[in-house]
Amino acid sequence: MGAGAAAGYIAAAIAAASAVDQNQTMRRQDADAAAGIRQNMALQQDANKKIANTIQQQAASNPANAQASQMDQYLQQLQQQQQLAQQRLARTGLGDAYNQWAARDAGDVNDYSTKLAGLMSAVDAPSLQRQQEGYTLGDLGTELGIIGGDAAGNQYVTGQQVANQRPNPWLQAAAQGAKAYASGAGGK
Amino acid sequence: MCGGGGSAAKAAQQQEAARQAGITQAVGQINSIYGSPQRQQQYTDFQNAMQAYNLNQLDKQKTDADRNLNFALARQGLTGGSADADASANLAKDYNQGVLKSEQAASSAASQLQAQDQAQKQQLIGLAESGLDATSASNQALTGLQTNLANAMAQGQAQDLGDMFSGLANYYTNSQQADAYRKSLNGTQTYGLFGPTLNGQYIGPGSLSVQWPGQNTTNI
Repeated sequence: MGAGAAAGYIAAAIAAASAVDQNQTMRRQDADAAAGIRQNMALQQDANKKIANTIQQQAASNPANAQASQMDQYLQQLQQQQQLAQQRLARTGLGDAYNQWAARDAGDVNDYSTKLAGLMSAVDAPSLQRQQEGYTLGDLGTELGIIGGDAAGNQYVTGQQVANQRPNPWLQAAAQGAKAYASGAGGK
Repeated sequence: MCGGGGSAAKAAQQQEAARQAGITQAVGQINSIYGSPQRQQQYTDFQNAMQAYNLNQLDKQKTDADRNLNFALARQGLTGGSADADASANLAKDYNQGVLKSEQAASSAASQLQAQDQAQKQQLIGLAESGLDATSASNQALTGLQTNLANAMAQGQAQDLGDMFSGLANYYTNSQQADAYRKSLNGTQTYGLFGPTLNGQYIGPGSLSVQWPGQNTTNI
């Protein structure tokens, strides 16, 4: 076996080692990228869950609670102001006719006010409901923003990890050198 | 593990497939929520409540206007005459206009509510679709939130019909001017909201003894 053949074997061995190294590098890069994608998948699932929760909340959303709450507030206000509202009707000493009419009118005032409170709360309720729905969507946007930030950070880190997975430079240099040497030796 | 980025590509494919499936499911759910009979019923209930509130206001105004017109016509000696008929017709026209206006306002408010829901639906679909591109999702959501709140505030105000019977104001003004003129001729001045007499007796300063709740008897 001549020097040229020996150089050729050595160059082939180094080239094979370099190829294995490159292949392993690519596998490590692939593994890192896959791990990063899986982490993002977990984040995506978290985001999907939050979206699903919000959709469920929207599906269950109705104006009944807002209406009941608003009605309570209106009735409470009416109760607090009732004495002042009916102060004039509560006067005494104005005669039997006044007393009779005032008693009837006091009932009318209560009925009218309660009816008005019911109507106003029914008018207010859908707006309050949608206001709450708006808050829920805002919360979802914030949570997705946080998840998106995590995903972007993960993407950056994964990119760095993939970029850092490089073939052994010494092995590559040796392979090139051996190849050049073998070419030179073979040419002699 | 295969070479050439196989596992990463597979993971990416899985992620994309899951994302697409999630989006499809979410959009379907969102569409069904906003198109559900319950949601439609909310619009109807809202419109009915708005209509009833407006009619309540209108009816109260009409009752007051009827009473005021009766007094005004009687003061001027026009009860039962052609002026009475004309004024009553005007009052009926004003009332009908009020009915239409209240229906228009209620219908318009319900339409606004529906439009607001449509915007909210699109916003929610956008959030579901944007998935992990959540920076823009967040911005979109926050912008949408402002719109929702503004709409909600606008919707929250019960529509005010205004004074539907102001057209009859001339009768009251004329009547009260005539009343004041009569009083100046008689040299008397009355106080209070309900005219010069109660049970046929003159009411003036010091003529009534009134017991206010929680207070001593006072002369007014």
